[in-house]
Amino acid sequence: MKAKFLNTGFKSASFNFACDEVLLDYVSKTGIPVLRFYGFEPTSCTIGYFQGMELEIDTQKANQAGVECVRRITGGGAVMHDQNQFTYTLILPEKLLSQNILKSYEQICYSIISGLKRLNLDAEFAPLNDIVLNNQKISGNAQTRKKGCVLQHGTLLLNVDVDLMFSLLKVPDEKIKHKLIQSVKKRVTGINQHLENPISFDEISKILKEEFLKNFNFSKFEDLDLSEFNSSIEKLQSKKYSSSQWNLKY
Amino acid sequence: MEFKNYKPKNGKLLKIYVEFSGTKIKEFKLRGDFFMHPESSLESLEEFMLNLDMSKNFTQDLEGFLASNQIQVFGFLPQDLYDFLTMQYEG
Repeated sequence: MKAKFLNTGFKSASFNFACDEVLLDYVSKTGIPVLRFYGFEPTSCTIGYFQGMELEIDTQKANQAGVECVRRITGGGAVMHDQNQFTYTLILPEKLLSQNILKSYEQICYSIISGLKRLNLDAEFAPLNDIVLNNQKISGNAQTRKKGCVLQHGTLLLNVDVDLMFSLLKVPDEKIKHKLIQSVKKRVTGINQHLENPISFDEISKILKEEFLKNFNFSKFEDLDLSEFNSSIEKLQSKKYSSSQWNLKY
Repeated sequence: MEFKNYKPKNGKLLKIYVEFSGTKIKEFKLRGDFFMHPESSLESLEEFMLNLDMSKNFTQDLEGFLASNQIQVFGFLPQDLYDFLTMQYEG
């Protein structure tokens, strides 16, 4: 079975999530799996579907800093996305994956793990939705199932800036913020900290594209031209992912 | 509206707003970094929780609601909600 591939480069959070949703419709209609690689520019905060925006993010500070704050269609926690991360979305018909949600997370994450093994990084799947290296988190993933498809997106940390991460995220108790940051620094890492020569977004993209192709037994990747979806993406970006109605839903 | 944090053992961080009327739940809002499939089930879960009686079969009722509506939750168990709500009720 062939699949489609696209690398949309570094774009805003509202664009990225509008793009995911439009591509979900495409996969639902055609049955053809789509793999997309991308990053976030400018720096953005995204929250899980079930999170309260004001409970998680200092939105006033974020607005002042020009950081876009967007709700995802998937669950999970709040994430600061900067340019030191690699992000993927894989969308495929539900029948191509285990019906067991836990297992399907592992099936998809396996391609990230096998790619990292090629770099001699012994990463492991950490249920429910993380990938760890030496017990430190390097990747968070989130999945939704809609319209007969599974959409999973995830972030792989190339480098990590925990201080930036906490600059806009609210913490339960300000008095222990410093302690919390120190603790997260121990529990989170970027892959470049473990490599002799830092890997770039393009280099990791090349490796992971090959791994997804191999692990899902796709016959080949064909490039997907995004231009035919531009107007749908723009519409969704402005009407949904840039709207208070969606972003402040909870 | 004050949400309280609760982190069940091996679970995700929950942020819950609750008000009681006697032993019954009068207001209930659930937020957090958990996963629920389908996502649109949150509102029906919150609605179901209203009028649940803490002194009755809370956990079984909630388990039954999730099963009959084919809702899958990752990050907390019905028992976790019961434990938290009991603390709030008694506290």
